[in-house]
Amino acid sequence: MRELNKFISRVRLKIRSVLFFNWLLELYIYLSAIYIVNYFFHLDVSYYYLLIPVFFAIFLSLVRPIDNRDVAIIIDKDLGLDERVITSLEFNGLDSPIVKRLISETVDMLRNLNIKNVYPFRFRKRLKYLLLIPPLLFLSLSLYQNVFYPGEVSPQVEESGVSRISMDLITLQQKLVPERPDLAKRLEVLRKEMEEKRITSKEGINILEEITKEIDNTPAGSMDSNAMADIKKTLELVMEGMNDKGMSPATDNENSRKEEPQDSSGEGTGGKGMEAGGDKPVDEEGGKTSPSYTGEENTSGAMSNEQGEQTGINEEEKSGADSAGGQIDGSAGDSGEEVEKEGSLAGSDTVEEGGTLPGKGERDNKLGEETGRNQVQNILEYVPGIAKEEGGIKLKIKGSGKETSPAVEGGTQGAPVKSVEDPVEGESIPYEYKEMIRIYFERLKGE
Amino acid sequence: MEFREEFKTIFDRLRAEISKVIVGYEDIIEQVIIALFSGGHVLLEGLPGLGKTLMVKTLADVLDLTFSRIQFTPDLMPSDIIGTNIMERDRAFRFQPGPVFAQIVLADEINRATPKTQSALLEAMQEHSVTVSGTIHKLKEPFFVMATQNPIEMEGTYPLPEAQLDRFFFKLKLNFPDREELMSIIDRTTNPETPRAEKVLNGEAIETSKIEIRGVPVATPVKDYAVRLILATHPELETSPSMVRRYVRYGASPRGVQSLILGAKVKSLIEGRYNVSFSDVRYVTRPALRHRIILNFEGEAEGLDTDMIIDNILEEVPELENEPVKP
Repeated sequence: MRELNKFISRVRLKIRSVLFFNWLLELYIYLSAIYIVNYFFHLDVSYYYLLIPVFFAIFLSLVRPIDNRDVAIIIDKDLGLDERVITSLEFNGLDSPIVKRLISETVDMLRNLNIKNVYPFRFRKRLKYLLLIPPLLFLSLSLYQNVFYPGEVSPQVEESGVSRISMDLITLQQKLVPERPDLAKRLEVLRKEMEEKRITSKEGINILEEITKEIDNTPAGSMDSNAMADIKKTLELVMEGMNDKGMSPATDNENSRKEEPQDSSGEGTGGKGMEAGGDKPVDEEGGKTSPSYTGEENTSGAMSNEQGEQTGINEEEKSGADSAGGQIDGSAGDSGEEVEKEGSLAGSDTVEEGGTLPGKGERDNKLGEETGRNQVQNILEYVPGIAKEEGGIKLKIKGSGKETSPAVEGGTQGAPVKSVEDPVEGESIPYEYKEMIRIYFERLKGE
Repeated sequence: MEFREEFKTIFDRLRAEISKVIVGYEDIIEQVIIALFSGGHVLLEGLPGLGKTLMVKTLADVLDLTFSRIQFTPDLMPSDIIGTNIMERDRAFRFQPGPVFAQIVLADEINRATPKTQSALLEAMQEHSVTVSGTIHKLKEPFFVMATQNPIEMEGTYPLPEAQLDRFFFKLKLNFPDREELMSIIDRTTNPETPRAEKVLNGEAIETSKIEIRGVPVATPVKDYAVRLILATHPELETSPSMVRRYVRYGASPRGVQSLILGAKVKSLIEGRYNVSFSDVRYVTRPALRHRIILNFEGEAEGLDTDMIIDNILEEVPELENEPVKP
């Protein structure tokens, strides 16, 4: 009987090992699902987690009670002993010649049988379904990305990319502040635009390229050559990074640009118009393409020409540039062209907010509203506080100077004076910017 | 020699002697011997001429036991079976034992007698005793009844009541012999020398064996399997297979489970084991339960057989209710 019990103990150990491996496999399948999600969403799952299933599998395989009867039944079944082991175990101790003979016979049989045949390794049934989880999850997440972010990285990855680029831009700004605070400010605006996902990476790169050009055009001696080289190198790196990451807002912005002309096909045309009813009102891209943009709408655009005239607002800007891409076709071109001329005459190159009177009817569409793209375009030309050309803008610094913008002096209608500190005022300034801003304003004061 | 080997030898000799006379029917012969050593009675069912009566007579030949044959007819009276008190010359009534007072009784065409006469056998089969005029007369052990009935000639017959059927340990069905068996039957029965079986076993050896057989251990999972098989024949239980619930009127009685276990014990010894296995229980399930399951009208109308129901039960009921340790 001792031999029988010994055999049963060995089989029990084997059963536990099979249970352990099954649990281990199952837990790793669950864990693989976590890692797959991590792969797509960057949850920062540590590889130390790989050890967790081992401990759990040990625990789960040991915690399950396996009594002798269960083991005996398994032995009988797997070795084809016709219930000899379970009967021997149950009737052990019974004073019967039949039972004694049965036990001795069973022990003899077990001696000649191989334990390898008992409870051979097998997968639990549910594992075959669970094994489908990782590939299905991977496929579904891939599909999710391809459907919702075609050709793009996931929002999480993108977010991290954007934040990295922002950090790079901050570094670049810090480098630029002592040398070229004006460019530093442009970078600041660019960074904000990018963080708010209002511009595409392409547009961002364009801006950076312009900045590079400006640095290149800096007269010799006005900038430290080492600093200049360093800045240029950093700029290249940032552009490279932006190229790699391919920021997703591009898609959204482009879509919105394409959609806006359709949205703005209503009758409202007056609108606020472009805030900077500027001296360079027509964006080259802004005037392009929108097949759905009809003559009727253009007519409505033309109807608001008078208002544009009055307020210095270029109608074409409203319908084209402002609404991102609506093209005025030939039938309506006359009014658009005219308006452009007049608008540019009446507009101010310094006033940032060219507020207009309402156009025809109530304005319930977005025509004329400032889009992210236009803001960028404007920013490129009219960065608050940064002169396009020397003496172009006279800054009024809160509490520090008396100078006012020539636009204000010239009596441009309706536009409140936008002072340079406005973008800063009212914002909570992050710690990392404080020093930079301080230096920036110090420098401005000096000027 | 150990009991197991001794029993195996006896069994092999019995089978060999019976097979001298009976062609084929090896399973039937084995099951008849199982019933004999289990202390049960056998109901043989088959078409005329298949050798039912010959089988019983051959069994009586190989066993050194007293044998009597009762031909059941509609006018047969209970006293014709169990005996009666007869006034003798000294004007005293004395009990005259009937043919039931033998150790092997052949009740030929049992379904031709009236229920009243059929039920005369009830006490004899269950209690191994006969009560006449308030006096209980014990029958000599071993007492073994083998009844035959014809399944097709239903006119002028009285189907056995359920209570009577339940007394039979096994119901065995004799199928028509195949081509080779028919050839063999010709050889054995049409030659000048008719084979004769020799006596192999006496009543005392049978009784000793019966006691030893009852000592064969049965593990709890095996007993549980037998119980679940019996429960599965009951249509009123939700756990029963759908076929049972649809076509069965009454399920097997507790005598069914006794038959299963006792029959399985004998079978295990025949197989050379000292313990009962699931396979032993499965082997005896058909003969032990087929007469204990009563089909309902729908089952009869569909032309179902109780063997079909039993096959379904054997398929549906697993040996172990729960797998002990699933991986």
